[in-house]
Amino acid sequence: MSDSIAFDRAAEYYDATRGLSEEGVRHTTEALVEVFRGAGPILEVGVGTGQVAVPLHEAGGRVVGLDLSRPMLAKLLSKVGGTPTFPLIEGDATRLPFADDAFAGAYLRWVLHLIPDWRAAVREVARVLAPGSAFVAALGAYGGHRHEMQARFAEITGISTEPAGLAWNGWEELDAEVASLELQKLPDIGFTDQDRDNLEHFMQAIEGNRFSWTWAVHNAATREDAAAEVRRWAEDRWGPLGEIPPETFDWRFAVYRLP
Amino acid sequence: MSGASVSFDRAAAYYDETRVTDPDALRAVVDLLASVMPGRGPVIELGVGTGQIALPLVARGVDVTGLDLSADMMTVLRAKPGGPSLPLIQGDATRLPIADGSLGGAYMRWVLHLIPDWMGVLRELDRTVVTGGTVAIEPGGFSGPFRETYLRYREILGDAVVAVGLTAVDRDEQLDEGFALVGWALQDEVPVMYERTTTLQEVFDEVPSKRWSWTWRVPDDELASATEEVRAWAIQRFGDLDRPIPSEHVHWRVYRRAA
Repeated sequence: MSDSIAFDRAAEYYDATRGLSEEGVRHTTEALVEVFRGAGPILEVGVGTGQVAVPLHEAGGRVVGLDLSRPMLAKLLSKVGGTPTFPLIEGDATRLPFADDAFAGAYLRWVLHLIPDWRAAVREVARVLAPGSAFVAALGAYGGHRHEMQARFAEITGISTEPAGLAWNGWEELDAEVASLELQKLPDIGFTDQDRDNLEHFMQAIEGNRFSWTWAVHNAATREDAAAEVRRWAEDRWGPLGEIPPETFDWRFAVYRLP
Repeated sequence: MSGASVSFDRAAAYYDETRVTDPDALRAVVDLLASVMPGRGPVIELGVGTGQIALPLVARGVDVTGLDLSADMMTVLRAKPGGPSLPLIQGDATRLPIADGSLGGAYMRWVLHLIPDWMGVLRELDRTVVTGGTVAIEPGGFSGPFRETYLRYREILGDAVVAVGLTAVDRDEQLDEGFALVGWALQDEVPVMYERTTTLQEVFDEVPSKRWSWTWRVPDDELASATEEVRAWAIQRFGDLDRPIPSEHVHWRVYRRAA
């Protein structure tokens, strides 16, 4: 079986704890439509609950979604009313169940940090893409207060919040791996999005063990103590977390093209 | 039942020359499938092969995803006009990498005789096809003088020419019973006439070259000597082996997943 981290446990709360604002979703969809212009199926690796794929499909993209987690795919299906709209594939990013050159485009978002052998996943994406098609990738690093709270959590527990797979900010490693496969790097897609949520909810999600970077702290008491300490530390610095004005985030999607 | 499904890698180079579907029959098949697939959600073709059906069906607006055990067969598909527009999964029909209830329908032609665990395929379809979805199957098989000829081969060569999956005779009955086991009902039987101008002489000429999967497990010398024996029998039984044998209707069987 895969060493990659399945999000079975997160299916119920994923959408409550991760996502962009409506405007951010619109930006993402428009940018992907622009990149993948033209006919042919588009693969999303780690489609999850469909936060990216469902709007892209509604905008006319011919999406095929793959995920390691059956509960996440079930959640996607229930979000679209239980009626299937595009193919949902259960599978492992490091061994894609697709023929060579099967797709006209591929993208992934907030996925490579969950895959110890993320280089294999990138190679697999390159294998299933037809010549000339585009590959788009977004990594999952936080900015602003969230980043500081995550760093504080690691400091307290002494357990790294660096992920099992590609580093949160591993853009250069990704560029190098993709370059070794002879894909050409194109200008990034970038836009600024306003926080759709507040830090109180983010804090509660840490306390609820809802992010993969707290899962490595197996001892529940240790984890809960650390979360309580992060809360005290953050409130001392910034005051009540629910009252901090929304932050903005600079989102970035790296874009590559096959020869 | 267990054991490996039969891959058509070896047949990729000649498949389209030896399994010709005349244009009228193909149109009838595509018309049938376009009309019975529910039009809500993706449709999978199991054993998509070189895309003889899938490509014209996509041109009719059906959202087809293809699955095949053989990468070589799908390479032939991709080289055809429209080939790059299909998502293609390399996989085993007994373990579909597809999310529960995420397909609108499925179809297959000349496939289940190649799969020892063909009942497992039906269970996978029961899992992946949405309530109210449709599965259409043309199981293949022999009729008329070809059936008698095959049965003579079977008397001589025994199990080596018996299909690993659905057997060459009584396929319709086996299928109906199998679907009944997963709670699906036969909804329709649609006749299609494949016009072939085959003669028994052509069969005997072609058998030694092992173009057909029922011959693949027989050693060359045994196949040659059996062919001589069956040919002598056929001259007694049918007279002139060059006499064109009229085609017979075959039936596409349409099953529906009840609520």
